[in-house]
Amino acid sequence: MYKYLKKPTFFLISIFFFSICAQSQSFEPASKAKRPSFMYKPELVRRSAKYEQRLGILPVIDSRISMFYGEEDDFYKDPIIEGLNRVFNLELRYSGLFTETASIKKGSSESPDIKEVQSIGNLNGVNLLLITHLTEFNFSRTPVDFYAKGLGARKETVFANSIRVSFISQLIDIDTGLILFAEEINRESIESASSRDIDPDLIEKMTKDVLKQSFSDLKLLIQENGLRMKS
Amino acid sequence: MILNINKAFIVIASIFYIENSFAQYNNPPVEDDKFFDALVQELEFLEADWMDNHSITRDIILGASWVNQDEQENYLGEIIFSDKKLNKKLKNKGNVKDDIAVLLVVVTNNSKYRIIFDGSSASIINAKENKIQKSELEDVFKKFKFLGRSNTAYGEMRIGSIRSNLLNKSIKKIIVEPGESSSSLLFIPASSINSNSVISIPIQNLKRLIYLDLQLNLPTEIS
Repeated sequence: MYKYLKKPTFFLISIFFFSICAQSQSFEPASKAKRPSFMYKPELVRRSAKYEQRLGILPVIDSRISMFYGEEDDFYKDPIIEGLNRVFNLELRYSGLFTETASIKKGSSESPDIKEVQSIGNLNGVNLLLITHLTEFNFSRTPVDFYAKGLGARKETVFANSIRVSFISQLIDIDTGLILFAEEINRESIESASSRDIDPDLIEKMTKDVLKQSFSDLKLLIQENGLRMKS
Repeated sequence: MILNINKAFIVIASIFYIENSFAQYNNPPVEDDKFFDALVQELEFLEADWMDNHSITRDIILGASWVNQDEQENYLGEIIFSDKKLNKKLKNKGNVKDDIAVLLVVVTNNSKYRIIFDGSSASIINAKENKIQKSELEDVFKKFKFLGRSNTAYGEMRIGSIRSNLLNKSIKKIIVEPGESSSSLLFIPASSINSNSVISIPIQNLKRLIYLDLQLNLPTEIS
């Protein structure tokens, strides 16, 4: 009799403890199969190229001071740098700013000198090189409200979730070593949500938004501010 | 009998309810939380040559001062390295094995060239010419003794504030335009503090691929 009656009590207590534990709001990567991809098809622009030369795009150098969130970087289907390399190549190829673009697989050192740049350029048959240092690709959550609701004063936090992307791109003329363009691009995508509402779809949307804005800035700035060598 | 057993559940539920309500009372709203307050507190604007401890290299000025206890509370919400410990270490005394000290670093670009200030590669070079990298942001984060369990809503809220604040204020790789100044916090292992140690931060000219290391002695006094 005692054993029989213990079950519903055990069940009630379990539900209660589960509801307490469900308040856990830590932000962790989704399982591998559910991780979002930030690949997208950029807008194809048809225009006369600003640079009638062949551009070599070097792999992005990771100069971030922190991983995506905390000690975790694996929030996406592909590693961040790998995905970003693909987006860089696609965006610049579709931009119409260069006659031709080439993806260079082997990266440069963190601070390449003119000899290294010329060696990479000659090896890959390009006239211009694009070097990019990624300085931020981070998720941050700024609390905007904290309140209690329902039975047991269950606590909720409302966050302004943001993904911030920042990078410094330099366009270098191989022959002279002159830097024709150098700009820092900073963009942020913000979505308000209680932390439990963060799902991979939201991360995907925020990341694509922030990348599209960043590349829109980059292409506009290359078009407006990029210097050209006198022929 | 059922009623008796359910009494146990009611008692446990009541304990949790009271505990939660009490915790709610103790947990101030977001805007009153010290870490949120620190998050909205901007670093003081300075030009590098306004600081006592500064050096000039090709018209680029690097200045640094220790962030004292009061400033740590103001900018970070909590003291992570006390003035007492720092004073001891500046006199080459005391055990600071895992501690992290905080510096306010200001760069002013008075040259006619745009530069990349590579704060992400900042390091300390000691008397033996050994290079000690700046502290990792996650190691700095672990120094905070934020109230509440990290898996509770309140704990998570504070983690959000602390992480955002550290990301915003920490030294990074940035472009500094001619005439511009930039301030940031540099976290270094306290064990690297020595009267002969220097801060070393690489810069790059943005006209040509020319690099240079800005160097500055560690400050010897707390302001």
